[in-house]
Amino acid sequence: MRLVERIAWFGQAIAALALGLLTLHVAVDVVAQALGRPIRGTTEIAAELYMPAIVFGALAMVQRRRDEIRVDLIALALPARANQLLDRLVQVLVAAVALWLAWQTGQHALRALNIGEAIEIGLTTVPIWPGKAMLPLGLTALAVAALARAGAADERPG
Amino acid sequence: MSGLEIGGLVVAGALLMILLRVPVGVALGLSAFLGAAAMLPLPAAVSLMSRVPYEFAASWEFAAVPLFLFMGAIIVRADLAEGLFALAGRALRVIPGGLAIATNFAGAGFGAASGSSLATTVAIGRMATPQMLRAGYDPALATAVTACAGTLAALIPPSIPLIVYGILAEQSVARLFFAGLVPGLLTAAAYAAMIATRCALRPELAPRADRATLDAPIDRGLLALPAIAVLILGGIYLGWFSPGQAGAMGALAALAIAALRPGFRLAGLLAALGDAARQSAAILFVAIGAFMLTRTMALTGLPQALADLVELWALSPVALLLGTSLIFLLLGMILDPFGVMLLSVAVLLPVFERQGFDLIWLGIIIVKYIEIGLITPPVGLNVFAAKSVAPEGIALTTIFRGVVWFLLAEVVVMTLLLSFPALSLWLPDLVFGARP
Repeated sequence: MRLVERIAWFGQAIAALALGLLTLHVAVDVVAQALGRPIRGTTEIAAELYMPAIVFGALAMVQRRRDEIRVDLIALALPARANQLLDRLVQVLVAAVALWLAWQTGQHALRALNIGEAIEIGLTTVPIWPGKAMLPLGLTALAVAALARAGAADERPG
Repeated sequence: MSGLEIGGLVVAGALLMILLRVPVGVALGLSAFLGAAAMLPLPAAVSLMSRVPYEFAASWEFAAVPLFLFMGAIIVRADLAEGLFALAGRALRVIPGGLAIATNFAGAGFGAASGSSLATTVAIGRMATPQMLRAGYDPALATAVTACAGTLAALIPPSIPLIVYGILAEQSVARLFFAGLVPGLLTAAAYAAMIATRCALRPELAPRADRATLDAPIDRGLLALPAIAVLILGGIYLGWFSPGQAGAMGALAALAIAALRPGFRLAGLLAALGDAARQSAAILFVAIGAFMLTRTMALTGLPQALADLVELWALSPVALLLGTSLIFLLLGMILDPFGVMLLSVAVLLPVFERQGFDLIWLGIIIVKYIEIGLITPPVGLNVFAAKSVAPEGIALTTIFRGVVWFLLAEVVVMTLLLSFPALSLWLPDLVFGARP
């Protein structure tokens, strides 16, 4: 369990760092733009690197804290035991979907690394594989968090 | 199986999974993938769907979502809402139900800086509900007003639902922001009128406040909070920033205000970053699933077929609007707001497009409906949020009883918004010029 917590925490830390960098990068660009010298590549770097880190980095922590967007209507209707069983099954389903998608997106990330996919900003280039790699990493962490929830002993409905 | 049948099964499967408590993003994405796999050779379906998460998440337009959520998280963590409420409470104490009306407008003001309904209800409810109860207010009113004030956040810019709608429906987010302003203020005014009328007719609902309780010192620095809203809208209006850039500037402005207050230190900043990252992940994960669904829907041809059907039946615009209003209300009662909005955008948008409806106006109407869904039973998320911060012993049914009056006000507001699209479209047309 402590390992799961650590993985989720690490993912959130990456997401938080990316969000902080995004805020600063964009704000500095606004000021630079006002001075007539915009920072080239800001929107590309924001989109290709920061955004995947924010969205997929924090996924495991969302699942761990039961903050994922879901509808709990059925919990009002089912007895507690059935509810627990359903919740476990749902977590296994989430883990299966996340692992499959992690496998697929992992191949995309490897391809991006191998062919050196990059954002071109003037004469310099910024590789985008780190952004793409956030998907398999974040989704695998999501699967781990979901499986931990499925196996947790004191499952509470909702 | 024909494409239409598959399309219908995909939507039914998504709804079923959502009701079985599968996370909404997984339910939408998985049913979309299965639908695509039924229409296309498997490798093509895999390739089509597995590329969506990155293509969709890695977008500059969506960067506005975490940036505005970050701004809101700072405001919540720094307790900036408290002073707003004190300020409004003092200004409005002579009016019947003054504290409740103050809560309502504090919700509007806080929503203008935060953009999230639940966050607004929690932040406003935490301080306003106990204060109203101490002043002898009716518990149903004191709790319901916080649940309903939260919904104002979704219309008064910046609004997270409007950003997501704008991207999915390919409409200008800046235009949507300005389009939401008048309907949001109209709703706040309707709530205030309803509260004042009720409290004037039945003074026992809201005893007049004695002066002493409200004369707590007010920190003038709090006027800076409305200033953030002006900075954002003004900056967009003057063409200084795009919505995403406005989010970054707003977050830094909120951070500057928070830094001046005692108690908000590095720990508060880190917590706000974490909050905003998690909220962004939760919301955009659902949006990714919805985008997969949109792709599958396009493959099945279901939305086009629905549009054909509406044309064939020669439905009058009024009948179409009433019919979809019913669908939105019913879905909003059982599903979560983002699920409803994204599902309806994926399936119903072509119908409205073909019938010549203005999609900016439609966005405002859809967001209004999902916000109403947040305060209707049985799944009124804002009501749950209001309960979570209310003192022990106030039943959910008590809050819903108070909400009924707000729903009556909503009937008036919705009738106006549906009858007069100009209420939504006048301001964006004025600011950006009419569209061709």
